[in-house]
Amino acid sequence: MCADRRLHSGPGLVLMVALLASGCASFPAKASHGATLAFNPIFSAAQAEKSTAAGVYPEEELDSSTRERAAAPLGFRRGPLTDTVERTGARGSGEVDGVAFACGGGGVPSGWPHLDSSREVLAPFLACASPAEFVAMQRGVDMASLVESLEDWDAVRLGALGPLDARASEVLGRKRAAFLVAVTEKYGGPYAEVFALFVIHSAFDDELREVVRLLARDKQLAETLGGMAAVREELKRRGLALENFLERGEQAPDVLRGLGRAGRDMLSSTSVSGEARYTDLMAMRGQMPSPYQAALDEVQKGLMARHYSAGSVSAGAFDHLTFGVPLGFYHLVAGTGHGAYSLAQGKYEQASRELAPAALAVALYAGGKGARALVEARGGLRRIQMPALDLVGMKALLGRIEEQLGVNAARDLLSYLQANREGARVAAEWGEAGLLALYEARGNPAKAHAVLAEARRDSARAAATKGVAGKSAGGSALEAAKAKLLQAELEASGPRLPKDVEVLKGLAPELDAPPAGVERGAGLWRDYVSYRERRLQEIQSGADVKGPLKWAGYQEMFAHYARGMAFEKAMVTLLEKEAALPRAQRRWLGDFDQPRIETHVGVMKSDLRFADVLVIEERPAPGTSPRVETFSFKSRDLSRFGFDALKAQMIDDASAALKYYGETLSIRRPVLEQTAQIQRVRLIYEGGNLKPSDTKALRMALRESQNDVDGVEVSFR
Amino acid sequence: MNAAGTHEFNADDRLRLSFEATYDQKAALKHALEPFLEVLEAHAGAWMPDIVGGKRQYAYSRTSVLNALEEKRGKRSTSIGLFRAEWPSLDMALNVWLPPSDPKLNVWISIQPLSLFRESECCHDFVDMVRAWASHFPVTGATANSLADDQLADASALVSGDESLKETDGAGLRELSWLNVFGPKLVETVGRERVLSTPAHLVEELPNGAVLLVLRPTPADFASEEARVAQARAHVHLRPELDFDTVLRTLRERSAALAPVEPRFHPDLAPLLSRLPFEFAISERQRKIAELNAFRPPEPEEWLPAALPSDVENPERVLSDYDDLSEGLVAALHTKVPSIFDETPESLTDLDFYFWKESFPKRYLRDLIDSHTAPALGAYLGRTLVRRLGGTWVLRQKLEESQVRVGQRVWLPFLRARRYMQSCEALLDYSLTQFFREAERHRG
Repeated sequence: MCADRRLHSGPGLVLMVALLASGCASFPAKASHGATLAFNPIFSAAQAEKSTAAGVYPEEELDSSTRERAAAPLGFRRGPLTDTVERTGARGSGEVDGVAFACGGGGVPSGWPHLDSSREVLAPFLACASPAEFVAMQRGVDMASLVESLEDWDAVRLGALGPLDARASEVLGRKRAAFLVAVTEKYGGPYAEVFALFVIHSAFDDELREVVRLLARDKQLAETLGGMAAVREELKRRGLALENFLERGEQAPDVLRGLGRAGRDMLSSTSVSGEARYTDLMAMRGQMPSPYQAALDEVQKGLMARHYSAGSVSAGAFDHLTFGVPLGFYHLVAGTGHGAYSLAQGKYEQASRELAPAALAVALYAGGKGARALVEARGGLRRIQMPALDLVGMKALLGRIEEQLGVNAARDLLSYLQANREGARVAAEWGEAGLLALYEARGNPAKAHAVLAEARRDSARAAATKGVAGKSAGGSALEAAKAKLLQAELEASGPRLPKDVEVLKGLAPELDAPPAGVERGAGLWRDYVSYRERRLQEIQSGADVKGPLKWAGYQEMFAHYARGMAFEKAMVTLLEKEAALPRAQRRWLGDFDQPRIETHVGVMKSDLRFADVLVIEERPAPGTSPRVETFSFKSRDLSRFGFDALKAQMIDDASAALKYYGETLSIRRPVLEQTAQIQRVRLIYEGGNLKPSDTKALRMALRESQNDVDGVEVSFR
Repeated sequence: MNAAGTHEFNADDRLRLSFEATYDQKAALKHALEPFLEVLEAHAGAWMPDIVGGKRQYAYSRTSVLNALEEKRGKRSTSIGLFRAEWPSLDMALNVWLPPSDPKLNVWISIQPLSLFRESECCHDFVDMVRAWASHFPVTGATANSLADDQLADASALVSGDESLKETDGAGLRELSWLNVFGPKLVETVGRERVLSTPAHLVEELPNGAVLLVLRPTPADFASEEARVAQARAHVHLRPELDFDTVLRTLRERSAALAPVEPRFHPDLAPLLSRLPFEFAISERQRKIAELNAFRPPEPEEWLPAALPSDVENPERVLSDYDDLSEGLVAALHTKVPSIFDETPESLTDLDFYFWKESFPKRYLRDLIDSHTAPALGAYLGRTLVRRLGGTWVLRQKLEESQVRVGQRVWLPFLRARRYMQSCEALLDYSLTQFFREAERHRG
């Protein structure tokens, strides 16, 4: 459809092409760079390597009992992805029905992820060849619970594979902190420092801050990271000065405790002699990428020769791995199985020779189509994915990125990826398109979502009409952003052009000719051009839509929309904080025992909508279905509304909230999938300046509107 | 809605009445409401509505009221707005609950300005109107009071935040208004004898057991010492657990917050600052004026004694780029700030006001501001200096070094604009208004 036409409409459309291509898995291969890559020669060879590797899990990952279990369905695990999914389902293991994608082209063990052994739960993820695959595999899996079930070290390893969702990342933070405390205690500072570096390198800045905060809270900071020179240096480089995380009033008992710890340090560091401890250490060593192994060896040598001194770890050991880049490197050096290991090793060395480390990390994230395409591709094309070690492809990709974004793009992009988990997730979800959007948004993930939302609308709509919406409604932030943008456009009061096809054709905006004052290639202008084209098509096809907004109106609408997103984000943070309070102190969540907060959850009634927040009881009374409430947030300027207008607006908003997020709905997010009776819908308006200053009028209008719309609680924040 | 003409939406205090009663749901709406409209027409006088807001707006008549109620009929209620095209302004709503909801008739009236009620006749009429309504429709409660005083009461109440939105359900008595109708339930709770013996301007029993209590002849002088004493007496009478002195002190504090503060703004900034207080609730306004009186912006530093030599190869090209930038700003803001076309000091003040009011630096995306708004604003500011002060551009490759020579000094508009957009506080510290005034002064 429109995509084809647009592809030929000019050379300046590279980004648009990328965006469109990424969204549409069944896009003809010839039409896009991304798709072309998927079929380049190296593909098949590497693919073959990979599936072999996945078929035979790395020895150390599995104990013998697992190996048997894993061996049984081996036949299933070799097949292409599409088969895998179907057949795992057919095998009748209910638990894995939700798994949308399994890394390594294999399936997952029966019963996964509810297995007794932490390692077995982790193992299937280790087959992921890229952050994109890793994110794809998380689909349909309750990652927070999964991480919770892992032992600390396994959780740390999982965290090294790529970005997790917000809840899982929070659990991971706790596991990482606990791991650092335990490993320092058990092996002493010098060894622990290497592990600490591994944690630091594999964490995103925002996650890292949380780990440090947790350690500081438990007064463990000085005893763990605080004593490690290389770690301090590295943290500083990442913008985290430990001094800013002063532990609560260090007092004498703490100091004594520290001394005790130091004493144990002396013992444990110099001789990691305890048999079991040594074995454990070596096992962990084997599970880290080689530079860290080398660093551990160096520490050991130093300690044995008794010339170990604090700070000596970093110097030699990490020379060939530029500090702080390994987000995702794990996939290159440890993520491949035994069979492919030597190949990987060679490739890795070649790669780091030919590509700057930053570029390498970026390429890993952007490679192929992103998690989304991996999941959506089942049933469509065969697996389209750029293998992690496809150097030629990577270089081509980087070439394109540099061409579009400038030579420093890789470095900037890396800093965006590293800065926050959500940003990295956008890249992993969307591949190259996500990366470009992230760049465009200067690392702001919410904005990147918005950019993608605008560009993605066509393909999403096409999908929806095919009835796929129900299935693919995983409820990602992006789809919700898209829905919100649609709503914002609908409600925008700015000036519009007439709904006249000829007029609109005559006035069609051109990508290369933005109005005065707008930078050429500005993201919003690009979005606008795309919006105008789409609207024209809608009008041509007789859709019931308004005429398109003029450019000024569009800018305003977008700014307003961004404001709404900001409010929503603030509210979610507030709710998350509140969920942690004792029940009696909660203002919104008092009816929950243990509330679980999920954002942008796809829910289905007459059509698919995204609830801003859905709260579900994690501990329902036995035999009852869990309590579910939904939240809808509005950022509307009501400050000058007269009484009747205020009431009418509240009734409109409350009715819509009830219609879409109330009564009985079917929750489409895989982990939560169920039909739920919504006990309460809350509509929360942004307060402050936007709220009417006459509270008496507000109170009365609220009561009036509550009479009209039963079952929705309206309030202001 | 309110067509208040040239009057600031927020400038004057208002008298607001909420009136809640029941009506006969079995009767046709026309008959049920006839007495209501009759009473309104007889007593509204100066603030009589002339516009009926249904799905569209109609000229006021009983028929158009009924038609509008019909066309706005919802599932469980119907309601219309009633307005005035001219000053004094009126925001009124009539809410009628329909079966299966309770048979409620709720009225909201907000009249601006409160000073209208300095006239005793106006007050008489108002009280008569409420009495007549309350006598015809079994009344469950009503209050009428100044907006400013209610805002202060909300602020000094013990409960805060969203809690203030919750109704006390008539079960207890929180604050007294100028006019109060205690529904039968509340009268019983407080004690009929006690209610009837309240020291007040007017205490009357109503047919359904409710009591009408009017504290003072007029609501307009609520903040006067005399009125405060009367309010405190009535409060303490009705709520004996309260201490007279404490109540009176609280009430006096409220009056103090409303005592007019003489504006003495920084002269350069006066055109801007004098507009800001109106953006705050009436109850906060005087305190804000005092704050703004004390505000002294730093002296503008975005100037050089001698110009950096121009380092651009193609000045025409650069200038036309600046014009484009500036034009972009005009295009984006002309609906919000119509005077932006003029490129006058007044346009700059209007822009200052707009950005401040929008909390622009805080509410909008930082990268959007840095990459679009600030450069465009710098170009606009520079153009204004050129056009209104006879300045000349001395262009530099770097935007923030580009200068406008006015008299002996050269000014750096882009730099100013960037500093200006840093935060909400910066909008006042680095205002466009002051920048222009300072340049004007040094024109030589």
